[in-house]
This record gives sequence, structure tokens and C-alpha cells, in this order.
Amino acid sequence: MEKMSLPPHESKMKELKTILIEEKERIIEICREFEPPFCTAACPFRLDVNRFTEKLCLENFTAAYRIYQEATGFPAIAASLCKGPCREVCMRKELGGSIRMDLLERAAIANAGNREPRIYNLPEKNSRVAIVGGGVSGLACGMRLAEKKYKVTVFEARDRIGGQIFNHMPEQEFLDEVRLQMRGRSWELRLNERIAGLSQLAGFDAVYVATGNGGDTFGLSPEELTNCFCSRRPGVFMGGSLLTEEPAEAMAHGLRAALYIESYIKTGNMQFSDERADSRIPRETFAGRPPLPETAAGPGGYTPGEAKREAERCFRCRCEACSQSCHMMRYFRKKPGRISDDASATAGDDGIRGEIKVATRLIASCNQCGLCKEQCCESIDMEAFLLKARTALHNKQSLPWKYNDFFLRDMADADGPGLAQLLPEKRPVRQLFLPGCQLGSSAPEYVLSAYAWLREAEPATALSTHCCGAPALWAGDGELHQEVLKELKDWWQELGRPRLVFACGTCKKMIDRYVPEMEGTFLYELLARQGAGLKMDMGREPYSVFDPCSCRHVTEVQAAVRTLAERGCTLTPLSKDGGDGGCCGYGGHTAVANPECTKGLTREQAGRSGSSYITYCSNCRDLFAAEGKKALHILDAVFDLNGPHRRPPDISERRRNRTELKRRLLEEYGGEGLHAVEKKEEMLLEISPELRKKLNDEWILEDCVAEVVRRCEETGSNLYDEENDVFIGHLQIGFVTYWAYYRKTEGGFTLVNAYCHRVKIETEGEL
Amino acid sequence: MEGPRGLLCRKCNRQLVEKKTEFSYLGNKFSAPMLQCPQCGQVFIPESVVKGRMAEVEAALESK
Repeated sequence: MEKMSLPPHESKMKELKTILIEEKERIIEICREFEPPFCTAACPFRLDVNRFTEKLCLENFTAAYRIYQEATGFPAIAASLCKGPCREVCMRKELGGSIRMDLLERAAIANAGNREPRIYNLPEKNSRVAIVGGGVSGLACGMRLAEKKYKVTVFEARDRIGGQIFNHMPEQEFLDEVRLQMRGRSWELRLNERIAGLSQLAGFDAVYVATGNGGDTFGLSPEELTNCFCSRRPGVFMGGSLLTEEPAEAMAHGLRAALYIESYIKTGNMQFSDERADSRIPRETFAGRPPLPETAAGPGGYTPGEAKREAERCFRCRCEACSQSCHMMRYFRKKPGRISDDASATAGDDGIRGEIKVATRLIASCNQCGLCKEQCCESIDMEAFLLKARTALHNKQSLPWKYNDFFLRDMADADGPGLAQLLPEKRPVRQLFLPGCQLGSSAPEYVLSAYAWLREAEPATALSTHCCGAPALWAGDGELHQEVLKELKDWWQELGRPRLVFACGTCKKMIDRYVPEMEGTFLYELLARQGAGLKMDMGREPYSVFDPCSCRHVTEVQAAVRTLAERGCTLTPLSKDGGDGGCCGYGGHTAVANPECTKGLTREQAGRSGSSYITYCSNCRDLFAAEGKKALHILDAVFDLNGPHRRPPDISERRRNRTELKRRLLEEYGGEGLHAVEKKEEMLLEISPELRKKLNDEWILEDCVAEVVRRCEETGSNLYDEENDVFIGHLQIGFVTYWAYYRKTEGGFTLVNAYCHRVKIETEGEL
Repeated sequence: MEGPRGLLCRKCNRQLVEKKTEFSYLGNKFSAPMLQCPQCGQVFIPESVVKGRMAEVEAALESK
């Protein structure tokens, strides 16, 4: 029976919830996911350049035009006035030349299928807004407010609109564009009407003063503007060439002032924040990218094809170091800000009405490799955050047990009936070999050969296949995790605190992190140091070492495995060598919670190189082999054990391998400390290869199915399908109900079908 | 209710009949008609139900 822990004290749960919420807030504050690209930050109109160039890449000029129109109000005027501050900050500047936004904007305008302004079906507003000055800033402000159906009156002292614009662009072009963009909008233009004082405008709800360079300020000083074009007088705003010499900037003032005016009309508030800051996207992300020269244009500007080519040069700068290194983030299309928000809502809050479960599967899909933290310029640690979220979910009993049940039961088997602990005859014990709970399940020879080699070098070497507790930690069960570690530590202390020898990176990571006093080294380092070579004939083909994520930056073991490998084969490095490529898919036990994401990651990792892999984690090896990738464990090569094509054992074979390892250890070493192999009454249950595959795919152990048959036969509680001559029975083991369809044969049984479910049948009593 | 015709409870030697069956999962209780032994209440849930409706319920209760 697996160990169950009691739900921790309520105060502890509350504490974790608070921590999650605090950390979420911090992550949202520092995560740069939503930072605008450098160009957008520099643009007076804050044009969403990424979306704009994305549409151009698709040759969707109308959509690109709409984005540009939305940002600038008068696209043709903006394109004429803008001096391109984006080009100064473009990440392409030194890599082939800044993106030619000027030409792209013109191409969008020239090739848009429809340039008419959008007319929104909004109700007419009663509020009246006066715009003083018919220059480009006032017109932009008036156009935006008219678009929203406010009653707009533009007062212009002269007999024409445009102010000083004609110094910058041809009159006709300007007037045509104003006419086009004002089409369908209701507004009043009063030419030759000079406003002498604001009292003249008493009937208006808000006023925008845009009287131009050196124009009338009506006694309000531009220096007194609080922020966002708001004067000290309620409802009076000021902007445009009164404040700036840049005509594009002046025009943008009008558009932004329109937003604040609308907000003022709705709320009476004159306090806004319009701070503009440089983009905080880390520039180093772009280092080393290949240069690509800017696309040349003919005298008429870009053709559609040229515009597409130029748009394709755009990096579409965004901060995505984390998601580039994390398959899970790409799978869910979420980055730390959004993930932490969803995860803390799921694990931390209880919601207003019942539970929020928006991110349960996401929380259980993190491989716990920690690569995101290293890639992030703010060192946001999603490994730690999502582990806390798992713990909080476990504590409030909301982490679906299905996600971790298989692994927890496997751990219970590894530390229970499957545990092999051996004491050497020679004392005191100098060394304790901890191969991990999975190495022997992959192939018993790994542990047997390594232990034999260790015993030869140091006869006082003990062995324990005890688990490091990772399954409990990853299931969010902190108490069980502590329990498992305590059991291991107690035994280590009984042995006189010998030095540990690890074969599994996760074991070492866990022990280093949670029981650092249990010091040790990797088996591979000892092998390399003592001159072990490769007994396997590796042929001429090159191999690549795939470092497990748990050994990222553990340079000693990385170097040792390479030293060993190079004693018998040629190595070609992987891109992102040294574990920088992330997890193989095993970490975090995500396979049940999210098989699609996990499989996708394994495939991605297997495809990183055409060469066969040498791993030093049996889980990496077995997962890659399951994908058809040629992969060796370094112990295969050192001791000439299994070839790179070895089919990985299925889940039932892994259990049998564990028992087999124990049997062979007993046979070879006997002696003290080794628990006896539990003898089960043999029952012959034939299972076809197809059915074995189905059982493996559905996480059904053959032992569980056999138990159903055994119980059915013992109690006589089962069903008989006369038509097919098949017996059908079911049994709940742990949380899972297993169904077995079987026939009786001479001397045993044949399994016909099996399946399982998590829903519990309540109707039946004890059958 | 789908299932093999002529399904017998081996213990009671009775033909199974459709009857309301109670289930629970992750603190939620629900019921559905399933084949049961009229005497001892032994239930039969065909694979199509387990892989279909039941799997949907399990997934919906676990996470979005």
C-alpha cells in the first residue's frame, strides 16, 4: 500500500497561497513579455510594428493599413510627417540596416484594398468638445472624438485648415487625406473664428487647445500641464505644436489627448499617466543573428513582393527567451506573466464561486528543468513557482491524483517490495552506490555491471535502489517527499555516512538540494578517472552526448561522460550543448497529465541532431529509443551491454526488471541487508503483444490486470458473456478501477481485453 | 445500453438489467443507467462508455 500523507495544517496552506499570490505579482511586474518592441516604444503613434509587419509578411496590405490607420488616424499624413525614430532603435540597424518602415507604410497605403475609414455603430453622445486650432493636432483629436460620436467643433482663426503643415507636405495630399478620413464623421468646422478666451467656450464639456507653435495659450502655461496634456483647469487640454517642434509628435498628441478627453468626460478625472519608456526587451537576445541587407526599392516605392521581403527582415522583437527554451510554454502559448496569473488563480485562490481550474494541467506539465530561469534576463524561476503551485494544489487536494498516481505507486514499489539494499562483507562501508529507482528498471545489467565494477575498486561498497523522492516532490506532496528522504538518510547514517556514488542526475540534484550533507560523486566520474574505456565496438558513426537537464552546468560529470565516450567513438556536439536544450520529457512526471506536450518535447529533443545519442540517464535513453532514435546509455558502451536499438521496456517490463535485478543481486551477493524477493503465486496470464502495447499506452500494469483475474476467480464475482465465451471482471486497486476480459485456458488464462477508469463505482458494496 | 447480449452474473446466475448506478470522482457524485445484476448489484461498464462519456467527465473534473 502506498504511503499517504495527512493534509497539512490549514495555516501552512494559507501561507503557501499568500506566497503564490505575492510571487505572481512580482513575476507579472518584472516579466517583459508585454514590453513593446523598441520601434513601437520610439514611435510617436506607438504603432504596433510587430502586428503591422506580420500582416505584410502575409501580403495582407488591407489589414496592415488598418493597423496603421488605427494608430495614426490620418495614415497618409503620418507617413509624410514621420521622421522614423524607429530606425534609430531598430535591432536590424547593425544587421543589414534598419527596417524601412517609411517605405512599408507607403506600401500598405498604396496596396490596401479599402482605405475608407471604419464607421462604428455607436450611439450619438451629447457631450460637446471644442478644438481650438485646425492644424494637424487639432484635426487628429477632432477626428478621433467624432469617430466616437462626440459633438466636435473645430475653431480655426484662419480661412483654411492645416496650420503649418504645408511646410512639410503638399497641400492637396493633406486635404485629400483629411477629406477621406473624415468621411462619414459628423463634425463642425468654423473657419475664420478666433477664440479670444476660454469663457467663449463655456458651453463645451471639454476643450483641446492646439493653437500651434507660438499660439494662444489662454493664460494657461504649457509648463503647468500636469501630465497627458491636462491643464490645471478641469476639462481643458493642451497639445500639438504648442509643446513640440515635431509635426508627427504634434499629430500624435491630438490622438492621445482624445483618449484623455473621453475619459475626462466619462469620469471627471484629470489624472492620467502617459509615461513613455524605452523598451526593456533584452538586447542581447538579438546578438549573433545573421545580417540581411535591406530590400532595395524602385522610384515608386516597394512593390507588394518587395514589401513582403522587407517585412520578413523584421525580427518582431519580443522577449521570449523563456518560451524559446521551454516546450511547455510554447505548447500552451503562455509566458511567465500569464502562467503565474493562471497558476496562482488555480492553486492559490478558491475563486468566488467554487474552484478555478484553469491551469491544473499546465501546472502539471512543467518538466521542472529550470532552464527558463537561466534564460530569463530577470531570472524568473518558473520551476520553483510551478512546484509551489503543485504543492498548493496537493494541499487543497485539487491536484488530480491521476497525474501522479502511477509514479507514486511506482515509487512505493521501488522503496517497498522492489527495494534492493546490499551491504558488503567488508566493513566499515566506505561507499554507497545509489543507482536510482529507474536504472535497474530500464535494464538490470546497468546496476549489476556498475556495482560489480565499484565493488572491484572498493569492496566496501553498499548498494541501495532507494528512490530520491522526486516523484513525491513532483506530485506536490512535501510530507511524503520528506518521509522518503528521511528513510534514505537514516539508512545512510546507520551505514556510517559513507560517500555516495550516483548514476542518476535527478537523484543527485534532489540530494544536493534537500540533503546536502549526503555528499557524493557520479559513477561516470569514477569510471573516467580510473581509465575505464568502451568495451562496445562503437563503429565509425559519430555520437552526440545528450546531457540530462538535471546535470546542466554540472561540468565535472559532463566532461567525464565525454572523456569516456571519446575513448571509443567520435563525438559531435549538439547545438545548445551541456543540457541547455532542456529536458527529454521525463522530468516533472508530465506524461500522464499531458501526453501530447510530453511526446512533442521528446520528439523535438530526439530531432536535435541526426547522430545517435549517448545519454547518462536511463529515462532519456528509453524515451528517445521509444521515438525510434538510436540511443545508448554510457554504461551500455562502457560495459558492452545493450545496443542503441534496444526497445525500451514497457511499464510492466520495468517492474519485472526491478524484481529481476533484486533476484540476481541476491543470487550473486546474497548476504545481509537484501530484502527477500517476495514470492507471488505464479499465475499464467497470456497477453498478446497488441494488448501489451495497449496496456502500456494506457498506463495499465499487467500485474493489476492479473490481480483482477485472480480476485474474480477467488471470489467468483464476475460476469460471463455467453455469446463470446468471455469472463469479465473488475477491481478497484488504489484509486483506479481495472476491467479484465479473459478466457480460461489449460493451466491458466488468456487476456482478451482490459481498460481502466478513475471514476469510482459507488453502487456496489463489497462484491 | 450497449454491451454483450446475454451477460450473466456468474455468482447469482442472473441476467444483467439496466439500473441507476451511482458514481463519484474528485468529490463529485453523479449517476447514470448501467447494466447491473438485479441480485448482487455487480455492475458492467463497457469500454465504449469508459473511453467516451466517462473519460469526458474525468477530464472535465480534473482540469480545463
